[in-house]
Amino acid sequence: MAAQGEAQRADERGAGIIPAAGAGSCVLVGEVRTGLLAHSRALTEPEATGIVTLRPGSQVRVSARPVPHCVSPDLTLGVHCPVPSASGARRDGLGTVLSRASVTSGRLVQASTHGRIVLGGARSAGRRRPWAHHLAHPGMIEVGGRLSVDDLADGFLSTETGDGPGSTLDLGAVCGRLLDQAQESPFLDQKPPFRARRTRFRFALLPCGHPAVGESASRSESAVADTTSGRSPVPGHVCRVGFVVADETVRTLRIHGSGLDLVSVVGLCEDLALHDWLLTTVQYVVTGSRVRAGGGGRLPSQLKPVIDHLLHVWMPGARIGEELLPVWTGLEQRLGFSRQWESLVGWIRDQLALALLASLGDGAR
Amino acid sequence: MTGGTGVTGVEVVVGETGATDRTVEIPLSHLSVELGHLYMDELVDGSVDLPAYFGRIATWTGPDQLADLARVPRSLLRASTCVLVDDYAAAPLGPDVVVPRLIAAARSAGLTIDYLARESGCAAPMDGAAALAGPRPAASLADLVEGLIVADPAAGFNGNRPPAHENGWLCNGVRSPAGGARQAMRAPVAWQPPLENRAHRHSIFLDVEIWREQGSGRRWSCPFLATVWQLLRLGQLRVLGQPAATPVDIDPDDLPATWAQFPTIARLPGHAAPFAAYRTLSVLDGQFLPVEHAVRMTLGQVAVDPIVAEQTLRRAGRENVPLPAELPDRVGHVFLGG
Repeated sequence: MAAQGEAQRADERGAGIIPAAGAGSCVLVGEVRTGLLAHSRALTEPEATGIVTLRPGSQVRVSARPVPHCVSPDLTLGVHCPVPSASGARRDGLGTVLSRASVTSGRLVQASTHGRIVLGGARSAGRRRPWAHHLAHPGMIEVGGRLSVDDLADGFLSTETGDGPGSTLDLGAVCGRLLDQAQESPFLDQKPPFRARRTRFRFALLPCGHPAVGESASRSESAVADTTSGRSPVPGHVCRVGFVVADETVRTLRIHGSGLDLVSVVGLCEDLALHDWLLTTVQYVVTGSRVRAGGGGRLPSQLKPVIDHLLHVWMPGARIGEELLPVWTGLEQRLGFSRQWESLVGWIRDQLALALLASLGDGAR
Repeated sequence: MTGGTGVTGVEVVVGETGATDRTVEIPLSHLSVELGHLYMDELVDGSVDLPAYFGRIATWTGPDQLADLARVPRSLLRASTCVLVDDYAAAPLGPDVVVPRLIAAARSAGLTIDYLARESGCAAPMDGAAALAGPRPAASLADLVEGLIVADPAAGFNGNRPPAHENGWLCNGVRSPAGGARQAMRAPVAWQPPLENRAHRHSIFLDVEIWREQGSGRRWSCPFLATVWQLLRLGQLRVLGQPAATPVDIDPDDLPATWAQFPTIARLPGHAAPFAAYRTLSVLDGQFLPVEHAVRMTLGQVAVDPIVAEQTLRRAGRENVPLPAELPDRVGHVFLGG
């Protein structure tokens, strides 16, 4: 399944993903935007593949289990701008971010963008490195000058991007454009079965604890190399996770961990964002139906598309590597994603049963 | 893969081959040596003394020099030679005339041409099954490479707008504001100089035409096709994980009359080392310096498939061949004076 492909890709990249010698600590930041495909029915696999083939001649990864899922190749974009900072420190970063689009179950579309920000690297002052150097390390942004990982992560997670001018790194805008691009595909008839809002899911992966800069560098480097080669003597682990529902459509996730494969972390966040969207969307529809439920046992009309299109997509953690499963488990325990989902699905089934009984009663009369 | 020892204590590994990338590795020499480049006019009007031309190139391509450039001992050196025929703009002479002439002239200078390619092949519809597969096939090698361009961002570019896509042009910095631009009722904006992103005190700003719309379609520029050519020689191009172009054996005694019937990359009989190589050397007339400057700048803004990049670096490591990760640094030139 997809995770195997990812493991192999990560393995192939092995050395390439490791920052240049002398690099400092590193923070992975990213954003996932999730929405309902602007199409009246679920897409077939070839159609879904067409949506995410964003570059000629490139491979799309397709998996059929547990739900059909296809992912575009990574798109690279160059950036040269200040990186986020909660304290307002202005530190310029230069490098690339990676984006990809995916379609799940022929119904849901996601765009995700991420970058690995390397702080305190040995960037020669004044003069840039050749651009080819940055292209040889895709998805890495080198930052000159001092900046703490917390300052960076706090700034990134708390700043709404993608909506306005602003001069700092804007992953939200990159991600939003990619989602628009997918939604504007000629394969789509622009007639979604119901209205659903896009959600934004921002995430940051920081080192465990607060080690000295040099220590963190060597640890994260060797850890990445180890997990990606699959011969990890010390398996990657997650120390702490913070999930925040910032408003109706914005969520943030902060992970402290070490030895984690970054590609898998992005995959985890995409999976979390997908399920959070499902929960948010179905809850919204159910809430609306409850308000409007006029009795009489009639099935609220807005529930039908949800039953048709969304209920079967819930497969939490199916594409997640073992070292990241504790994140799902932890969120389940504290937030009860699945319990909430079961409760919503139960309510919808009850409505369905009531509607059936009512129609039988009508027939008997 | 999703695997692990769950409650059952059994390790479960689940795989699905469709989800796995398959990226083919191709054979690699240490060095791909380009034995000059001639404009078609020069071949037509006979203004170039071909044996003398190849003779000058031969002085720069001795085995010791090549081994040195490839950074391997001479005894281990795998080098192949190639010539790119300039047939894209116009081709009054066909392969049946040009190819034997080039082979004979090179031979008179003691050089062997292992591979002959045609420039139009970089812009033509791709051959092979790989080109047809997939929902969005690349129309040509040039299309494929254009899709790999990741522009060098100017200072201040933070992703909040699409990257500037200047209809078919690529540069190494910030352009000078358009001349004569004026806002209504205001004086013309004062001229500002362009800026090289990586200026060393002063800028050497370069703006390269990649293509232009012309008549029935897109005309690719010579420097861009030369960039495609370098990427082919560096073995970095794949279509759906398959080699984007593969050399085809030809019989020099049975050559077609038109270039369209000629392979994109043709292998001449002999014991040639692989076409693609870790590094390239091009020995060219000095008039090609601007073209190759553009090639180096463009190569520096091409992001090849990271899997291919990694495979190449790892193989070089296994062979103990020092290899820079940056593509422009793998490309060497000798420019001959008049």
